[in-house]
Amino acid sequence: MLSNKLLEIRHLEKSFGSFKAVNDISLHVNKGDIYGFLGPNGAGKSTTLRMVLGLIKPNKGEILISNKSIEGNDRKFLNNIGALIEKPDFYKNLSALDNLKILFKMSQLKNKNRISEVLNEVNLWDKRNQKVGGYSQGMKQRLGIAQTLLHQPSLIILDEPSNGLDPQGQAAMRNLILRINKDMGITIIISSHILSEIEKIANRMVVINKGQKILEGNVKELMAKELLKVNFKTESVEDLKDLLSNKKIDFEVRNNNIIALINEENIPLVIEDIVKNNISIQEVRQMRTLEELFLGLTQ
Amino acid sequence: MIQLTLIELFKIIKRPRTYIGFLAIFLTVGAMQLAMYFEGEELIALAIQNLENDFRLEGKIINTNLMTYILLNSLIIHIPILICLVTGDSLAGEASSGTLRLILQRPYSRTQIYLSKALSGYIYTTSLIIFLALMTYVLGYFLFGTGDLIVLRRGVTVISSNDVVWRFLLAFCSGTLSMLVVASLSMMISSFVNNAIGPIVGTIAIIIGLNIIFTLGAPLFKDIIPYIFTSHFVKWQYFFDFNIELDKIKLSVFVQLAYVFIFNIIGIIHFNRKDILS
Repeated sequence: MLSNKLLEIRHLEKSFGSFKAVNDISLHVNKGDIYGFLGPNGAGKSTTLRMVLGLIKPNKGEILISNKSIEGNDRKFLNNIGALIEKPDFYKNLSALDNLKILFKMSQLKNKNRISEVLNEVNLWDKRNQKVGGYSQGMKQRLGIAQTLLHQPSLIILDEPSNGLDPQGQAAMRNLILRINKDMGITIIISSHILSEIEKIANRMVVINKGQKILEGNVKELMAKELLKVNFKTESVEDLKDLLSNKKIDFEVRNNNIIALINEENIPLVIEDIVKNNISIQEVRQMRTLEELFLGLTQ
Repeated sequence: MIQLTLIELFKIIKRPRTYIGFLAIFLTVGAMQLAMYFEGEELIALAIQNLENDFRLEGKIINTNLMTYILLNSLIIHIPILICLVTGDSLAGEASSGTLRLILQRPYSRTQIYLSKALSGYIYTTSLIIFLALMTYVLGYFLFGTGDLIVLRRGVTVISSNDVVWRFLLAFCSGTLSMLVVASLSMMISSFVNNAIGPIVGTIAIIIGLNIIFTLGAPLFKDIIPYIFTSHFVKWQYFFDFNIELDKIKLSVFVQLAYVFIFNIIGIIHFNRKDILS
């Protein structure tokens, strides 16, 4: 049976002196995934991604791309990967076109239309002759995406791609990533500390902290597994407390707010009981998000 | 490899700092030639006043050959700094600007990338020396014309103007080899650091330090001086001896080639092991 795994990491470890940046991380990314890579700053995300690209040598462990180990000097595996690590750095004294020409030649590509195709894809064709030093952060990010697409890889790694972008820029970046995944069928790994970004676009994810994997899986399943925080704003605090206690639901009271931990499928039943008992509710708000899950796991 | 080297040359050509070297040579050579044009007679008279007791000197002592010989001496002082501006920047500069991780994501080995940068650095170094030679000889020819070359080294050697061109060609080749050692050293240092200043300062500090040892000629270092690469920076002068000592020239070429090889090997090994964190 053919494996669906495009990238597999097995027991990866990396230390810098006595500091263990990555500690026994194993994960896999399937073909077609948008794979979220979550973790606070210094969790080991960039180090792991750099090891996948061969920029950092692991102390232990194995990395497989399409079931082939990347160990050794053969760099052909990089034909399958496009990456934008940390920030889009280019030769600032050169135009976008010249930058991409350099990378085109370094990728040993033949189709000369490819540069115009990727610049059009990220809406930079009109600015192709402008020096990159004069580009805005958003334009640099888009050029960064263009260079990842240049050699038509099957996997793209985007390390904090929304860094430094305004909300419109973040939305545009999100749409671009979704389009690349959907229209071109390219698997994407995206690391970000803007967790709502991951929640919106990733189908699978891993959470790492202090160099260790905390959980990995399908985003929706991970969310469903967790209890949701529901905030009830009410004048009948005592009545609601009694009801929740009878139903053995954990809660905390903050003035007129009761924050209850309820399994997602039980929420309609609880609300039904509230209505039956004539408890007046001014507002019901679901509080549990991936961000809270993330914070809870990494604190 | 050819493709990679052409890419590196393209980057060098597009960098403004590349032209600092050419501009500096243009200004230095121009200023020295003009100074000699206006005040050269007095300076030369001062330099050869002792000789005039023993010899009768006729003809144009200051000519393009003498000027070229004098300016070749600037190799040891100025040119290494100008070379480091480009070769020292090739790896460290890309590391600090973040473009190193961009090019290392392409399917070339680090050894290939290192060697292509070294090769392009050597081409730049050679072009700088050729520019120095042309600038010195051509400008000198128009200002002073040609003539016999008087060399004051281990006595007085007078070389006929018909006999001097091939000596200059070989002397410039020898000087180029010395500068390739400098380029290799700065490339090697460049692979160890992540800022462009380090290789420039490091290379110049090493050259100055070794030059002091060479100049002092202290007995403690007597045995190692022939194997210090800076002591070969002046070996181009052998080509202006009446009887050229081929054995010494061969040893000098061998020692300098060995340094080029060793610096490159150390640089490549380190670069291959280096974690790219920038």
